[in-house]
Amino acid sequence: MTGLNRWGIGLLVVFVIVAIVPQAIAPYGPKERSMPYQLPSAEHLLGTDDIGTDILTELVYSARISLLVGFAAAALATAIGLSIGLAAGYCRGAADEVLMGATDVVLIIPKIPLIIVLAAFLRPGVGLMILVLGLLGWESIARVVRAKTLQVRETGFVMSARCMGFSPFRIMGSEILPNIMHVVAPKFMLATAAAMISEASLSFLGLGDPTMKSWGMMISFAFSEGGFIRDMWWWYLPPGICITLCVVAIAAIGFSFEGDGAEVRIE
Amino acid sequence: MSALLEVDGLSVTFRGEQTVHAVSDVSLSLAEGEILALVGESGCGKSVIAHAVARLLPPSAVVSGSIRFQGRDLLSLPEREMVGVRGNRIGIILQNPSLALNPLHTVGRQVAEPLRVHRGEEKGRALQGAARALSGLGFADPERTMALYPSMCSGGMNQRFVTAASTILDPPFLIADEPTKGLDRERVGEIAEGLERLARERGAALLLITHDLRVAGSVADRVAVCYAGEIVEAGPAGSVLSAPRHPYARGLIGSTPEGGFVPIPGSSPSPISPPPGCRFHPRCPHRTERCALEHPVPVRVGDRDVRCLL
Amino acid sequence: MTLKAEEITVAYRPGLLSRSARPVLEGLSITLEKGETVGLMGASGSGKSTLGRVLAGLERPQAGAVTYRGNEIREMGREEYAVFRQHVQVMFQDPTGALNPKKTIERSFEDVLRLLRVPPARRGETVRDALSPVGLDEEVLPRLPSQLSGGQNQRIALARILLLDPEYIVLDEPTSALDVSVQAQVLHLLKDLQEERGPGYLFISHDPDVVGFMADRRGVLRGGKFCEEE
Repeated sequence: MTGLNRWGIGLLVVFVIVAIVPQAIAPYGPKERSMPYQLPSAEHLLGTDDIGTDILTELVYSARISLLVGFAAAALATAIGLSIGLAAGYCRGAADEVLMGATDVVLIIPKIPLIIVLAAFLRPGVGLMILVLGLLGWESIARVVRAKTLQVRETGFVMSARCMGFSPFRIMGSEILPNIMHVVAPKFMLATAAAMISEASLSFLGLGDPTMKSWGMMISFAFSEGGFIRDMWWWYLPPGICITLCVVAIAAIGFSFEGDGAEVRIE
Repeated sequence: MSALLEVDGLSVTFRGEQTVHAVSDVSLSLAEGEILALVGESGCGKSVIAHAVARLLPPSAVVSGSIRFQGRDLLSLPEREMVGVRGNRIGIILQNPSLALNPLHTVGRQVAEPLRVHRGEEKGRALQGAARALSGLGFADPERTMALYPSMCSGGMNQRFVTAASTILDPPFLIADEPTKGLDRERVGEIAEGLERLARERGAALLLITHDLRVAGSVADRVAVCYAGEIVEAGPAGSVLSAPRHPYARGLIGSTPEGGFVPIPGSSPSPISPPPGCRFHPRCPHRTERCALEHPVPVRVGDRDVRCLL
Repeated sequence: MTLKAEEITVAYRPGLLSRSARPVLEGLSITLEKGETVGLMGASGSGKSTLGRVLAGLERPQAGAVTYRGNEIREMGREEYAVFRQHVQVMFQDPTGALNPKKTIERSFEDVLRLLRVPPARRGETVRDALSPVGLDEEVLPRLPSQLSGGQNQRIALARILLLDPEYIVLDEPTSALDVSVQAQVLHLLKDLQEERGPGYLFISHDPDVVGFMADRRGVLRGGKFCEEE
């Protein structure tokens, strides 16, 4: 664990706590209103927005959504990437070619235009966002998993397992998977970071779920409700800073994993 | 003839979660021009002994005893002076030559480096010296070889480059740590022979660490058998290897192909908790009750020293 | 009961667009019988390991067939193939690669026992019985392979294989990475086991002394073919 890692984890833990128990940190309830467009003061540290909600409170409650979308989308992407990568790496041959072909196709699909199109037909929402970001974010994980699987597949204990007649599922899950986790873990963290950024961008474009505010949504509202024009930096900067800090913390954790060496020695 | 190297009561332990007793009370001496082979199996501590003499142990090592080289106590020497000794007066050839060479510099530059660093020679002369060293190691066209990079060369070649660099200053004392590990039969023979020739030609003393008894037998003047951090038998190579007296040494010779693959029962003790009394007694076919209680010290028997109660 | 490879050809084609590489094995035939050891030598890279894998059904040859008990493994039905799988096992050189580094020894054994449908009540006993012929005791069970020596790992891998009571074991350089005295132990162990339970061994090694000690018949892999010595 490097020093970088410690900062990252510390920071992330702070955000996670905020996400889990916003009530404990926010100065006001989420629905409380007072005078709109107030400047920062002792009562409202970050002022109020266009409908009178305390911005700091909003910031705190938005952490939940931003982090949720980030981790959930990454989890979905990792689950898909693992399955495809393991299958391609283990089965090789025709299955490998087909799966990698599918991976290439997904690589080409542009995420943001797709969501825009989907948003036109379906109601925007957190669920949809997680689904789309997850379904489009797995290819690089699949590639890495496949590469590592091909390696681990050639070790003595995997060949032994094949000899002993273990089923392919058992081998993939029980023998190979634990030995590739050290490359999956950093990819998961980086996928979370990427998903958070994507979510923020999409929300900013107005495609997010208006009922469940995230930091990106906050910036979006700030823009559309006159916050930018009125130079209300206390409204649009804090969410941006939060996103940045969160992403940097997650990325730092992700990069620090890469220091760990693999324990499987390949002949 | 005074001894070139005198090790007395050397003990090395490693601090950590648990204390590892790597080497216990080792004494050996090396005369000028003599070749001593330190043999033993994995984990017996022979490599640690070599590193201790070269003062290359990690900071977690606790060293006690004395190591005298050319009359000076090496253990109390400040690192700055030790740097002057290494390369200049002690040539060190470690395992895994590919790791010892810098992939970004040419072979010539690396072999010439000791000349430039220790003797302050200027580039041209140093490179000439390097060429001479390489041709001495069997390279027919040293000029061309010196222009290569380590990644272009085979393991065997790299091994010779490292040897050249370590011996270019003509040190009177060489330490070679498992120079033949992991190589196939012919290579092992070549390297062993090459090393022996090098040492003899220059009259240098050689401390050879190896697990390969064949190599020890063909190259060394004297042999010391290492087990569980101790020297259990030491004496002239010919007689120790053909008629060992210590039960472990006997077992070791017996388990070689020539000896008939006769196994020694049990396994080597863990360096964290060595057995009480004689460290070999749990596996010894001749053990008595005494062996579990008393710790034997080396005793002179004929032409050698044996650490056994029998 | 024999395990036979007939006219095996294995070639690796680096890519679809390049010319096919020289075959590693070409028209090779070799027969193994229960209770005897066939020694296989050859230069490194000569395809010894490949042959081992082909015989164990881990790799498919481009041409030729592996027959077990008279039937080609490629054509076997599910049940027959399961029998083949049980009776042909492989043990590899790198002792730490032979066991899953993330699993305790106990777990590694348990996986096999579960596969063999040994009831949980009898598992402890079975494991103990498996460890004693290889000279190890229960204290290795809670450990990871990285905490044990090469010789111990090798013996554990062997004990695991023996749980299946195979008829044939392909041993790919099983003692090359071991110390001299540990090698002697493992070789003796293998010989004793062969006497007691009668498996046939394909013993692959580059060390002629070891092969001389172990093998009843031996040969060299040369030019992709198995050339048996008289």
